Amino acid sequence: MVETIKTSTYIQDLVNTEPQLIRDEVKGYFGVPDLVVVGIENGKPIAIAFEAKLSNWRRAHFQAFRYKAFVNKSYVIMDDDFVNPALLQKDRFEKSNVGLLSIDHSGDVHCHYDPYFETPYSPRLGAKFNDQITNTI
Amino acid sequence: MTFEIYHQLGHRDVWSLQSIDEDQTGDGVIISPRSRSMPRVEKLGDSIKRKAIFDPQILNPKVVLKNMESYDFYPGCILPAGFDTDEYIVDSTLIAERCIDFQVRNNFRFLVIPTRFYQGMPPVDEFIENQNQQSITPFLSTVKKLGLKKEMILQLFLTGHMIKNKEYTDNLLNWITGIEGISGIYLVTELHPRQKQIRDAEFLLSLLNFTNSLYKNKMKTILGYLNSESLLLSIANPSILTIGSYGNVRIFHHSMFEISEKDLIQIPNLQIYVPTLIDWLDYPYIEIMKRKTFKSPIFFGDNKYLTKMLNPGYRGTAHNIEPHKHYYIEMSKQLRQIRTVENQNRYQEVCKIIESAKQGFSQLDEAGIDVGDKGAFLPHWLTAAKQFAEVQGWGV
Repeated sequence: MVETIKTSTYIQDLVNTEPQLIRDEVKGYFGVPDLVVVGIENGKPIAIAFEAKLSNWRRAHFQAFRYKAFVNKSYVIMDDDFVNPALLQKDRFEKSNVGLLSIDHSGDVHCHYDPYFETPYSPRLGAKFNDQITNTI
Repeated sequence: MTFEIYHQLGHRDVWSLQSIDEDQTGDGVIISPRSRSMPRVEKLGDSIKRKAIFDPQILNPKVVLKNMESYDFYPGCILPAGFDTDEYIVDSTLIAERCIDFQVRNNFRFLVIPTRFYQGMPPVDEFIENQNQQSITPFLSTVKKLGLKKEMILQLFLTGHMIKNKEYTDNLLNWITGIEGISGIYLVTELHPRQKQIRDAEFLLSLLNFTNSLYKNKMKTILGYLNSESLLLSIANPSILTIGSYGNVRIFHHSMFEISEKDLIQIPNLQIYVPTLIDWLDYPYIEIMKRKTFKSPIFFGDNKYLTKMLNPGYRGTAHNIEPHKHYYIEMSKQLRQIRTVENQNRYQEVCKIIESAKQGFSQLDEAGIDVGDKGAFLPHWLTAAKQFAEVQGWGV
């Protein structure tokens, strides 16, 4: 699933800048996102994290919320066949400002909630992430 | 009945000693040879030792951990050929003599009779016989021989299986109350598997019942290795409740007293105790709570260590002093508040604290702060409290 997400033009377009960095299994912050996409916009780094889960949206939401401690946007991305239970709880995604995407068999990405940009809620982890990751771009 | 608050000492035990001295967060300490060598225990001031309980930690006679090598009473030091039950029984008098000598020489508050830890639930007769043979009889004989008048406490390690079995605990009560000269129990329980907070109402209720039965039998009860469930357990009339810093002094697991082949050192996340939630939260959650609607300092507590941690420039880790000293202050504040009331009134206070924690977690949820299933222990606590209260006739 993560490989499909990586090559998805939809995901790449979320950070529509060059240069762009895609990293998987980013460790050392607050949880381990399956994927992080980082770009520079107007001289400032923008980071988006993804938590991919086949099902179990609740667990995925919990994880994705943690990533917001150090990135600007965080998405749960699920198999389109299993996204309905999450859609029934869409208000939770809105309340937490955690994005919800699903990916179908043909690799098309469907957006159910697009979160707005926020500064990382942990200034400490946000700064650490920016220092360590964006400097590698 | 009121209770005392003791610090369960472990890694960085100096923080506890400072906290008691500077912030009055406890009435005494339980000393751990695993974390403090014999010379360092002997160097402690008389005023500390007089109120201290020394935990001999002979729960696993096969193992002597590093700091414990400095003591002369561990079976592993006395039995150089390695542990053997027959040899252990032969040398148990020597172990008792040396352990008692150390405790008496240092004039600790009680004379603690150690017992072994047994996994699972061995037959109760076998359990009792082994403890009598290997520890209690040699200790009591030595005490009698030396003509000591010191108040004696029996240490007991009980597993979740044992605690939850009424017939088992009834047998234990019969045995304990029949041991001449024992005035109390230093009880350490192991629930396995468990989360950081106990989510097993049956275990909690059984522990409340057992503690209360000891109280009714006029036995002092010291409950060791407690997390914030100490608040709940207070309703069963224990004599001493414990607070501790790192997780391994708040949650007992016998593997702490085994030599691990791999020294897997896990660096814990920085967490802060939130008194309103009666639980610890990872620091980033505190940062977002601060940013959102949780402005009231009372939610997090109120002390100088908290002020420092809430400063945006704070860069501490789990090994900094602040989260631990904050915990000592806030936890002891909550315990001191409930020890001023008794029985039904204490029960009602504890229920209020639990209900308020439930509301706190709901507030987090409402604010979109996803802390996972963190508050899931609360219904278990409330169930245990209510069932215990019902039996006491306190009305629920």
